[in-house]
Amino acid sequence: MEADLGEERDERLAARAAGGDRRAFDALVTRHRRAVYRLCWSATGNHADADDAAQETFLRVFRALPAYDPDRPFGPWLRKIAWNCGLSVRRDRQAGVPKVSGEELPDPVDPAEGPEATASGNEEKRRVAAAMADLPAELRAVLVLRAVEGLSYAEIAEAAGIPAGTVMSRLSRARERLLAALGARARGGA
Amino acid sequence: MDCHDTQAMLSAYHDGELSGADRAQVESHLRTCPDCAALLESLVRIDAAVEVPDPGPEYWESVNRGVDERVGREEARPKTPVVPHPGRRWIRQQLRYLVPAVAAAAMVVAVVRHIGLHPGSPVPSSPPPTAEADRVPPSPAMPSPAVGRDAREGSAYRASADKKRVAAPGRPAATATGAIPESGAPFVPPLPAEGKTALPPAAPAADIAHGKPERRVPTRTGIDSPAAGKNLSDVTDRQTAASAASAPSGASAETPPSGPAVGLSSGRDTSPSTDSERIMTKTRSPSDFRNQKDEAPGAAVSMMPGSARREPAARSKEDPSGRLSASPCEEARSLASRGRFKEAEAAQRACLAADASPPAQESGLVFLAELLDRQHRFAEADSVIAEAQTRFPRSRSVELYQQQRPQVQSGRIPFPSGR
Repeated sequence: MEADLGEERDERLAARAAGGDRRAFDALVTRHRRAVYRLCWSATGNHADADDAAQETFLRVFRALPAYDPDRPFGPWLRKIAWNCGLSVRRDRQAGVPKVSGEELPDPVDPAEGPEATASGNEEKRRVAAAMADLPAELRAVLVLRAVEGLSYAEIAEAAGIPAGTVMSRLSRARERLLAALGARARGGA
Repeated sequence: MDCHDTQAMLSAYHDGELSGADRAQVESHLRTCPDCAALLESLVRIDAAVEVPDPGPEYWESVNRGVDERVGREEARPKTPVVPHPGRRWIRQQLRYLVPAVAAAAMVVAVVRHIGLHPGSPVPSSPPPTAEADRVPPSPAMPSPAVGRDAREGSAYRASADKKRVAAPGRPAATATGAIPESGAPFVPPLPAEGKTALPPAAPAADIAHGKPERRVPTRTGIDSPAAGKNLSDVTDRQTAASAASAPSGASAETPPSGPAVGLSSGRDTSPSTDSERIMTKTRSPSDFRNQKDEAPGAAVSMMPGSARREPAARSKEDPSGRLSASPCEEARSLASRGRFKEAEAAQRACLAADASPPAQESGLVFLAELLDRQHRFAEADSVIAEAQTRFPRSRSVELYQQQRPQVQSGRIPFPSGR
């Protein structure tokens, strides 16, 4: 039965969940929790708020499921909710620009790499993460949606509720800023 | 193509989002420019390094547990119907639209009669400092020649700018009132223009007072009456009212009458832990709005002469002084019509909290989004729109507002007011 759920399309799972099948809903949560968390993280910039926003997202999804139309793709619908939950949580917490709290989580480690490569890769990632923390949430989000989630401009536009042209300009600005920040950090560190 | 042009497109090129011609130009430049080629390599490296910290497997399991708990709490909540008796709900919905409609009809009749009795009577040159609910402004609807001309000129100007616009469903491009909507804003009631001097602040049905009542009477009586200070969402009010009238049981296509989809702000359970009810969290009690100073409570109703003014509005109450007090919903419209969007927003949140029926929620959320947009709080408006989309996925009013939204945000569609 679990395998059945695992192979079900999102839309079908959502329809089942709307009919009261909690296992189908749980399967949806499991399937999308990482993407939802990442999107919420890019909106909030820290783990605690991203966690809140992710859970809020799934709660909203649960409430809205009876009104969900299975003929519409589930992913964009979910992303839109997640993005708005992220913004909502950020707004509630906001007293300024959200800061990424690098201390909350362990450094990401790729077990496939050797110690030196790992150290080098981690250093680069740490620098990028620090630079990303300084990005405005709107820029950070499009970058995460593109570089991490691999969404097209049209998909990003739909999730963030902005025109595709804005996605393009935001991505360009986000990368420019990252490059500038990394260059500045490298110079500062040298 | 030089380096500047190439670098402007390099990000999109890297994402594979350039058209064929642009892509060919960028590639051609990259073959001859090592600097730009190096920049592209940097973009690739940056993207590879971008990641969101992974909280680890324990966290992922906790997500399911957390969501499960919250969903369980959600299901355990008593599903308190908004209005226990379906018949009462139907009556309330009818009253909500009928009362303003009757008020407007009476207003139009009064204006037409007044014009008939006093042809050419002057329009007051200045508005009263504040709208008084229990006082009908002196001949607000008398069309002075100047006002009428200005209004017509304004309409003609807007009409020429709007020729190519398609009228939205249910409403012609040039409305029955003769007022042409602003560019891209088929639902925006006519601007007060110079005629605003004759308008009492925040008087609903004020567009009747723009010297065009006769043209409105036969076709739109009662429909447009509460429209002053309203925008797109008012149309949705009407649409939803119409649908409600045809489905008196109150059942909604979007949300079953019972069940979780009633959703974010449905029941009366206002527990602060309701998470996504943030839209409601800033809510003030409806009673908070009844005693506000300097308001024009019960605007549509208060404009009514004689006994019609005493019509028991569906959502208005009369305070001990005998003065009609506006419901938060009316208050929101009234405040918005005067450009007091922040206060209108608070009133609208109270309105949403007070009336959880799907039609009211659908139109109310759209109106709230518009109020936020008008305060340039776009992200919050995004959130409200997403909320509306989530709860009413096929909402025509949400869709229409989204079409209109850029112009609202840029201020190209002014809210009808005395500004």
